[in-house]
Amino acid sequence: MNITIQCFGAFRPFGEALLISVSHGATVADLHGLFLKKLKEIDPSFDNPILIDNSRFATETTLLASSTLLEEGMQLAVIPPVSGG
Amino acid sequence: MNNILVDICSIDQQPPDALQALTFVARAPNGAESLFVGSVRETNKGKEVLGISYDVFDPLAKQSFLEICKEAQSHWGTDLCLYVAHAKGRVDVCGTSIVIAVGSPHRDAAFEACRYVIDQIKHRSPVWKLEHYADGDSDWVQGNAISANAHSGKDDCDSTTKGGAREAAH
Repeated sequence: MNITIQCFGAFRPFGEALLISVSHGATVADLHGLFLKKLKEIDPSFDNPILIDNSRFATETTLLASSTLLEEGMQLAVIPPVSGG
Repeated sequence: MNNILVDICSIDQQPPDALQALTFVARAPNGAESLFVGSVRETNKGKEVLGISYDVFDPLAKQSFLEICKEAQSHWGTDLCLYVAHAKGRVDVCGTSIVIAVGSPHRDAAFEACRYVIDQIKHRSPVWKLEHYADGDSDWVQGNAISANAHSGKDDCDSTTKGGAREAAH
């Protein structure tokens, strides 16, 4: 199944949004590795797993826990470390 | 009348406005209004800065502003009036990145709640800075990783403050 990840902050150079294929039963915890793999497909020189480890995934209304099950067609956002104000 | 207003301001349309913020929180029961204005300063970590582009996940950012304001009310009083407006897009040096105003019957609550709101936004709200330097480079500011319990921060309302201020946005 596929989910869409909207990119923000330091992930903007990879595009507005990325389509990621995930297996049934996958959770948000699995998404970190899948997202890293996707970024490396786009830019093989990308080598910042810490940035992904320090990022969260969210819907428009909530930050998702690592245990959240992914569902077909989910529209999520990747939330790298924030710097507002 | 609602006593919380939060907004994301596209810089090319309506930049955050301090007067608008103060007007919103100035109510008859209030004896104090505290104002915080964040602005872009000309240097960061030794590099000359020309401006900052603010990237914002609008719906979640507005929700986080609202949650933070409600946390402030739960700690300093449900009669607090709060206004938060954050810029989106490029802001040049001296430009305003954020305006926060708090109105309260008493000054201590106004000062402390204002400080709480800006501190929490810096750590929890989905906003990112892309700094533009005089040498032509641009770089994303490193920022703060959002903790797993970031949006249940009621127990964090123990900050103290010396008051509202105009502060550079780094």
